[in-house]
Amino acid sequence: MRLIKILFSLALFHLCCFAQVPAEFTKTLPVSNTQPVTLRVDIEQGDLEILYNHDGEVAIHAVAMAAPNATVDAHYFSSALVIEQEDHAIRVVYRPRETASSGKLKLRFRIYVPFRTAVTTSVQQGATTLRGFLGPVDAHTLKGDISASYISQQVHAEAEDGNLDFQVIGEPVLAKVGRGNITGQRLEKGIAAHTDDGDISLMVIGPSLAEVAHGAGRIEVGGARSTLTLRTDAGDLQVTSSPYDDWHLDSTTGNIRLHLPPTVNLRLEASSDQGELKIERDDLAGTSDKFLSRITRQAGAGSKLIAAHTEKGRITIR
Amino acid sequence: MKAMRAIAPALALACVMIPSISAWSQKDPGVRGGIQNTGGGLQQRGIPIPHPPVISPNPTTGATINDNELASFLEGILRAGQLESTCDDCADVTDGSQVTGLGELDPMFPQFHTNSNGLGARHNADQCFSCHAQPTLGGSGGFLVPNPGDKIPRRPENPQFTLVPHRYGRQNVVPSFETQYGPIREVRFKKKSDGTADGGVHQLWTVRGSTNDTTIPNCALTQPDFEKEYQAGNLAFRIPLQMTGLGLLESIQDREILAQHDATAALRAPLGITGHPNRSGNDGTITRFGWKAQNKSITIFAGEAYNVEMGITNEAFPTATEEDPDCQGPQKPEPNDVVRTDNNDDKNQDFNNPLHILPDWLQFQMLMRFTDGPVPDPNASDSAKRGRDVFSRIGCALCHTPQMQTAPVMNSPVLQNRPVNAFTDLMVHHMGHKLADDIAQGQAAGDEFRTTPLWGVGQRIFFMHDGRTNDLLQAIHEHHSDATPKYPASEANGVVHKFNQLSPAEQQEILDFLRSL
Repeated sequence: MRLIKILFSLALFHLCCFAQVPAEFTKTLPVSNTQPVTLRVDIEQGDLEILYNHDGEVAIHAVAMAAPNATVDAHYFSSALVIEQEDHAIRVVYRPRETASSGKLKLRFRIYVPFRTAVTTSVQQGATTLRGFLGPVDAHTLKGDISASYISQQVHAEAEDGNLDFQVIGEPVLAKVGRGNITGQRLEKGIAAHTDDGDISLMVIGPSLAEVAHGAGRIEVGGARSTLTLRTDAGDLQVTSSPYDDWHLDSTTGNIRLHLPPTVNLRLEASSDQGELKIERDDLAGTSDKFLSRITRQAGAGSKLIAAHTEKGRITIR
Repeated sequence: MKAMRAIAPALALACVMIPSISAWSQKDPGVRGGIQNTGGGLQQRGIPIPHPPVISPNPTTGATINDNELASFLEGILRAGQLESTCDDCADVTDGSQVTGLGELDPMFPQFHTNSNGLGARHNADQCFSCHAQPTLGGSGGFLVPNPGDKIPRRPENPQFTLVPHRYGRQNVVPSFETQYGPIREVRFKKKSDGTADGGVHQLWTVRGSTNDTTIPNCALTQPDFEKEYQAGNLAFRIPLQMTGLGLLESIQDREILAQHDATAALRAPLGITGHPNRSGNDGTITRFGWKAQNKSITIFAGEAYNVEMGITNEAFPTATEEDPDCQGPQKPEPNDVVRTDNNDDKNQDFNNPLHILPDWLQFQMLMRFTDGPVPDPNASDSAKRGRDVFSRIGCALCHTPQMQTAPVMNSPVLQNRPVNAFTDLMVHHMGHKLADDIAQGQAAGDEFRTTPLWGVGQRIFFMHDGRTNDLLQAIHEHHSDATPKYPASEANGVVHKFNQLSPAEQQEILDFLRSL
């Protein structure tokens, strides 16, 4: 009953806050399919979505919802939104008027683009979603998440404060966050991921580098397809994969856990200055491992190198 | 009087010539946008063939495709773009540098993945988009550059002439009915060698000689003697249909199809147009996909095409059409493409995440379901606009029903309760001996065909089930066929007669209208 009351109150709050008639804006810009589109979007506030829809046009939709104590006139966007088109180069700029900057407007921008579109975005406050087009992409937020999926070419995403998520990217990903998490799946050409403070979780990736600079943020990797260089400060580091190529794993005080398939072909160099080395596999086990701070082992031909080092943490290999 | 005598021959000649001139004056305007902007034309210029359009917002309710549906659509493009080969690790494009450099997600030139599902020992194609690339990926059959990967792309042609039969050194003999600039043709045999009815697809190509797979060196499969069967008149051809808009067609309820049919009964009767639905032998509901409306759903369609066209077995069609062990890579478990339940990511190309557990053939149906129907030319000419009225007036619209409505409530709001401007009644009709292919499917007899949806006809290159013409005017005339002892007259005869009675200008208006679709 209490839960129902809370949900009811939340619903009422939502209705009260954003139940006003919104200001809406729609503009469609024709483009030919023989030239790629270059889209640049600069938004101070609001959520931005850029999605593939079909060739032949770029369609821009904007919605502003006002809180009860604020008003938004039907022509709000006519002065707040600037759209410029020069051949296949399109620029969209939103500068909020007073009501929006004081947090009384909820803004959403959705832009449908042809497949062959290169995108540059800058959002100061709000989430960015990019999906289904060729790229490349260069996306920045000051405060807000960035999500990119099904982009064929390179993606570069940076957020001061926000989470980054990537799925199915055809070319290398460059991801940098001040405070926030980074996640990725099916990044065929790999990722260079850096967060000052946050977790990193990657699944099925090409040659990659991931770093958590400070704090207890952890790194998890599954299905590494190529070289791997991982580094954490106090956070744990876990890899579940076949070693298709060399791995370099390094943590200051965190634990390192490796989960390998039954048959492997690798050379292991593991060291922990103060922590325990725990080998739970027959093919890599030696005598008196628990009393050693550094071990070198080989399984199969030993053609791939796994180098794991932590100053104070434990290393477990199974 | 003398003067009259002098001009009489000229007048007589003029009287003879005028009808001929008028008969020649109307002309199919050709593929809308020009041949240079067809899928292959763009490809030759280094421009990727456009992706299929995402389903448009529901014009009735405003509902749009949701995030998960869009993700499935995009994943579907990726899966349908994969180049199938017999082995897991075969390099995809080895015959030169890449043309477009789009990498992994370029559906026409996937650079890094060969699909681990495995190309069948016998097949008609090695990529969905070989046969579905006009005017966008997922469209109907068209021309493609025969040498993808080479620095100088050659003129686009029928992909069944060079590209598919000889990719990776495959040693196939190209039958004479697959011509360089002709339609992509799939082959059915009318009869078996013992004289009993056949009707099934006989795949054109084998994997014999594949240079990118060292695991099948002893594959010695040979093709059927297509040339002999062709000369004996035992072949029936089918060309690829477009995959666009199929989710909308599937969303039309049987009651809507039957109501639309009933509504035109009084107008059809005097013209001799009957028509009837093809029905499922299992549940009795109307089947509607394929040239004879023989397939029940796009899911069945996808599973069937994956096995029949590419030789890839799946949950819907789990048995291979060719089981020669010398021609199957040793790492190919049967069925080839299934819902992945592995607890690691060693198989099926790393699709080890919740979305990618769906097998390719199911992902194909998601792509088809959420691809928009072809959109008419927004800048149609006045002639084309007038042509729509003429089209209806002479009775074309009695079978090519301009609009139907999807079901009022569906799982996906973007599909429900919206108009579908497909120009088909989804019925099968007797079309007479000229079009008959002697293949019966379900309740569709050897001379019966589904009313082909006309949306997108403006950008199609070949017409009729066997691609016998690329001229719309000729295609209209092909609808006419007199009765023979074996087959009744075409149900379209009355309408074709009315078409022939039109002025040349009105006939041209119909052609312009059709090319605007």
